[in-house]
Amino acid sequence: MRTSKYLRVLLAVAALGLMLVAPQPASAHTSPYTRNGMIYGHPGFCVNGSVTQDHGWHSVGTITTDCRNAYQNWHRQYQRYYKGSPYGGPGEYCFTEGPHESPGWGEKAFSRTYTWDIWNWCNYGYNHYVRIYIDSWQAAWDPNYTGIGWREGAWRPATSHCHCP
Amino acid sequence: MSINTIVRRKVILPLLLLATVIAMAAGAAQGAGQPPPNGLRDTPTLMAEVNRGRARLVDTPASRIRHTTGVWTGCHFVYLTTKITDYETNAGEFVSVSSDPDPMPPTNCVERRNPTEGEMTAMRAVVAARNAAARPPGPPGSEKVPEWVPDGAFNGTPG
Repeated sequence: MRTSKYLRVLLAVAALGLMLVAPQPASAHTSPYTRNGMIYGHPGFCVNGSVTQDHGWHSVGTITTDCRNAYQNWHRQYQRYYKGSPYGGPGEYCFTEGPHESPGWGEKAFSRTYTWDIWNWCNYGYNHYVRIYIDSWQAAWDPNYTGIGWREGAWRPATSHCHCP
Repeated sequence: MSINTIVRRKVILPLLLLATVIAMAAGAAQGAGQPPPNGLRDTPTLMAEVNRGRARLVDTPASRIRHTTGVWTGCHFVYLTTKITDYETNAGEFVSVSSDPDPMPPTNCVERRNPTEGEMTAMRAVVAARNAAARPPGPPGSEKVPEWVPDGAFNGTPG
């Protein structure tokens, strides 16, 4: 019957649509997450910048701004990566990057880009959903900050991205 | 016009069209092919600068060795490495690119937990020793200053 031929085509299109909306392995894309600027810091903290993460890459960039002296262009970045269930609960440590220091006092702006997904070193296994966090902080050197030296600050809370449905 | 023709034109064809639109929208929503946005300095932007002659590769101690990181498996640390390539832009920005990570080895943790403070300390010592040749000389006096961890930083404590 002609009607049944159209019905078969309709069912085929519906099946294709269902395949596209079916749950994907734990690598489905969610929006990237960026945090910019200084949120918390010791008095005199003078490092600004951003941290951005997404599937396949992440980047931490810092720039010294209005520092008291040229020494403070000498600055460092530090990140801790941890993971958790996208549905909540305790986190689990994955790894640390840093401290990564800028090459010298002439470098006001310093960036590190990672061209690989944090998931490679921070997951619960294939097909297990996971939210990945970057807890990052920075410091600029102040030789006049007696006994402490590094004036530190951090972006709060940690950024994250999810390998989730 | 026969009833079959009416059914085809007014019911089945619109349903086919609607199903196609829904299927296409679902595929687009997955977003698997979206490129990442620009960060402060993402790799495509950096490579564009290199191609325009506004950034260049620099030879640094860090770029001569693979960088070691201590990675927690859930029950112990493994030490994995990445390649480091360094650039400097005409604007005076230093950009370090990490690539080619070692694959995570299979882990068979009977019970998952966070590292103890002792394990973290031992890991830092191993990492510092393996990366020592890559570390740039810090500002005078900085080597005497202990590492700072801000309040609220994740330290592996559950909860």
